[in-house]
Amino acid sequence: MQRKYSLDVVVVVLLFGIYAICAVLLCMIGANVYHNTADSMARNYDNRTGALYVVEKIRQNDSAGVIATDSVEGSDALVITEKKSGQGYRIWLFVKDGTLYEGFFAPDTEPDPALCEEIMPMQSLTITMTGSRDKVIDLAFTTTDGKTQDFSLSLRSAGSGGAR
Amino acid sequence: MTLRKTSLSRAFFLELVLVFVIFAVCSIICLQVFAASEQERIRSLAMTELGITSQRIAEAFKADGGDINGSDLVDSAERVGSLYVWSYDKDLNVVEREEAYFTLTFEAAGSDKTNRVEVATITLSEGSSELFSYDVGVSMSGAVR
Repeated sequence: MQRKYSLDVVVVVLLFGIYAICAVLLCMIGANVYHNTADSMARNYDNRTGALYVVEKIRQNDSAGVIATDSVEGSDALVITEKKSGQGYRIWLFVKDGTLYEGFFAPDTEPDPALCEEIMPMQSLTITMTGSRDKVIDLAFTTTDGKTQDFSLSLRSAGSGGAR
Repeated sequence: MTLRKTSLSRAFFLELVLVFVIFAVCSIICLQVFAASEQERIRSLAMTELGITSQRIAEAFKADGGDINGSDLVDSAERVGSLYVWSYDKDLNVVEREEAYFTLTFEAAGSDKTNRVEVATITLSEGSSELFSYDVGVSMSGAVR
């Protein structure tokens, strides 16, 4: 009788052990799925947000003689020239030290990252004008996780002295 | 006394077995939900990427006044007449058309009724089901709709 009792206890403990292991495994799988989903959402956000910010800036200002490319300390920069009440100024968008910056400067002023607004983390931004009459702006964004996302934009103002 | 102990032990054992069975059923349901969630995550990432690619094709079409041959995107496409097909597997690697999981197509439909607008259709399919499709038009005078 004593032996049967011990066997019962062993079976119960064994069953409980299996239960505990399965519960931990299920929790780990759930945590892993959650981690992957959160990671994907963050990556999606990084990919789209910075890129769309720059794209929308171009779209808003896509008119003759406004959009141009330049460089800031060796990094590509997008330059948007605007005139309001006779006073001209330039919006500079560029990536420096892992951050996308935006700054407003007078036309003859070199942009200084210290005077610019930090938009979001970004590893690099490459801007290339392609297509006939520089009609297409190719933008390559490298996010903080090292993933590069390409965007292309056709400029409506190109050919009318728009893109430079 | 011994009989009572054995009976209690058996009751506890049965309870544990019952709990284990309920747990197993719940686990199967949870695992199915996790698997579906993982599939959706992968699909969502792929759709984001392919959405951006389709946007690039549309921009190339608009930029070149109804032609995408100047774009580097056509290098990875299979061309059948006016139809361009990009075939991808689940991980978005470019594959042969027969092995494709996602298919992105661009088809130039020619001019519209007014003869002033070049029209094309861009479609993304997953297997045989269409995920999205839209028309893009470019005016011969340069304006885009």
